[in-house]
Amino acid sequence: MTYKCPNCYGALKYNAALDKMECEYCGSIFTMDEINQLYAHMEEKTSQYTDGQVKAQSQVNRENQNPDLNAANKNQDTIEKEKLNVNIYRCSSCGAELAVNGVESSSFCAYCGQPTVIFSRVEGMDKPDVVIPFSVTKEQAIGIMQQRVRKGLYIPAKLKKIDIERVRGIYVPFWTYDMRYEDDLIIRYKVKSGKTTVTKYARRAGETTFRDLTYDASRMLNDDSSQKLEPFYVKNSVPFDAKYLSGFYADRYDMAMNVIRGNAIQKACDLFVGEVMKTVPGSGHQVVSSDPKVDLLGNKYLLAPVWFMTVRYENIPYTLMVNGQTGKLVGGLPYVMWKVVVTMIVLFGVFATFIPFIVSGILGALSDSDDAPGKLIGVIIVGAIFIIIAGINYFSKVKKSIDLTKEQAINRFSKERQDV
Amino acid sequence: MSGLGFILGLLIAVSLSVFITGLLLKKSNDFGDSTGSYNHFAEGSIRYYVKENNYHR
Repeated sequence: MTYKCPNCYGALKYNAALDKMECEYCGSIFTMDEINQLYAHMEEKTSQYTDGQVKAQSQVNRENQNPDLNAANKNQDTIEKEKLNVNIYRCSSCGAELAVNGVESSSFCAYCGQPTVIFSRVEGMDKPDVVIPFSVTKEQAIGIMQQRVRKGLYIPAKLKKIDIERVRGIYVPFWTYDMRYEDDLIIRYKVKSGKTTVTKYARRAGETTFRDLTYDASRMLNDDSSQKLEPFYVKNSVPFDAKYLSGFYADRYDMAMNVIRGNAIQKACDLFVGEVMKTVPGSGHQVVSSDPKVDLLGNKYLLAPVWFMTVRYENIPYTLMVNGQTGKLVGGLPYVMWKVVVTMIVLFGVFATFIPFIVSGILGALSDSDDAPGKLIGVIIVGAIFIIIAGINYFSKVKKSIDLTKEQAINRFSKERQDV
Repeated sequence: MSGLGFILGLLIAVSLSVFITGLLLKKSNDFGDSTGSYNHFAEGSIRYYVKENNYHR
C-alpha cells in the first residue's frame, strides 16, 4: 500500500529523524495519526462514490487563446471529486490531477509545473473587482529579506546563510471599504496648572470620508499578519483580469464583506480618534463618550500581492512575508540569547561607570535645600520604571512578532498548496 | 545621601541598558510596523463642527 500526500498526491515516505511521514515532492510532513485520520476519511468518501452519491466528472481541454495563461476554463475545472479536504481538478496541460484547497483560485500543476487558474472561482459573484499586480519579483523579495536578515545583530549565524525552504507568491483577498464617518467625542485629558494636574474635557464633533480602507478576507491568514503588511496602495490597482494570477497562487475570499464590515468600521473609528487626539492638548487622553455614525459608500473585492518565504531554524519553520507591491518585509526571527545578555551587561557596565557618580554629585549639591532632593529621587525612580517598562515592551513586541512568524497557521497558508 | 545617589544611578543604568537592548533587538529581529503610512482619509480629511477644549460635562 502506498500512502499519498493529501496536498500533492506525491508518495509519502517515512522520515526516521522526524518520526513522521514526509512528502518528497512538496515537503509536507504528517504525523502517523494525521495520515490514519486522512485515510479513514478517504475510505469513507470512496464508499460514497461507490454508492453513486458523488459523480466524478472530468474534462481536459487546453486554453489556446492565451498560451501564457494555460488556464482551465469553467467546464474544465468542474470539481471532479473531493477527498482529503482538497478539491481535485484536471491540469489543462498534461491532464494530471491538480489538488487545490477550498479557497484557491490559481495554482500550479505538480507534474508539469503549468500555472492554472480555476475560473469558476473568479467569476460571477466571486470575481474580484480589482487586483494589485505583483511589482516586486521573487528575486527582489528574496534580496530584500537577505539584506535585512544579514544586518540583524542578534539573528543566529545559521539563519543569516538563509537556506530558504519555500517561496510563494500569493494573491491574498481583501475587502476595501469607502465610508463616511461621523462622530461626537468627549475626551478627558490632563494639563499642568502650577504644581497641580487638572483634569479637563474636550469635545470634538466632526466627519470625514475614508477611501479604500482595507481588511483581509481570508480566514486562514490572521489579521495581525495582514495588517502588518499594509499599506496596499489601492489607487494603483487595476481592474481584475485572470492573467494576473497566472504564475502565482491566489485565494478567493472566505469571509464575506458583511462579516468583516464591523472590523472595518472599528478600523475607521481608530483612525478617526487617532487624528482627533492630535488636536487635543495635554496628556493622558481618554475617550469617555462617542456617538459614531457610519454610511458605507461602497466596497471592492481586492486581490493583493504577497510573497511568503519560509526558512527553517532548529526544525521550526518561520514564514516571513514581503508586500508584493511595496517590498515591505514583515515578520520576526529568533535571536541569540547570549548576545542579548552580553549587550545588556556591556551597556550596564558603561552607564554604571559614570551615572551613579553624577547622580550622587547632584543629590549632594541639592542636600541643603528642603524638598529638592526628595522630588529628584521621586522623578528618578518613576522615570527609571517607565524606561524599564518601555524596554520590556520592545522585548514583548519582538516575541509576539516571532510567534506570529512561526505560527502554524501562516506556515500552512503558504505550505498547503501544490508545489511546482 | 551619596549612597542613595549611587543606588539611584545604578537604577538609571539598569533601566537604560534594558531599554537600549530592547530597542536594538527590535531593530535587529522584528521587521515591519503594525500600521501603514497610507493615508486613508479622503480629500479634506476631518471637517469639524465642534472643536472645544474646555467642555463642561
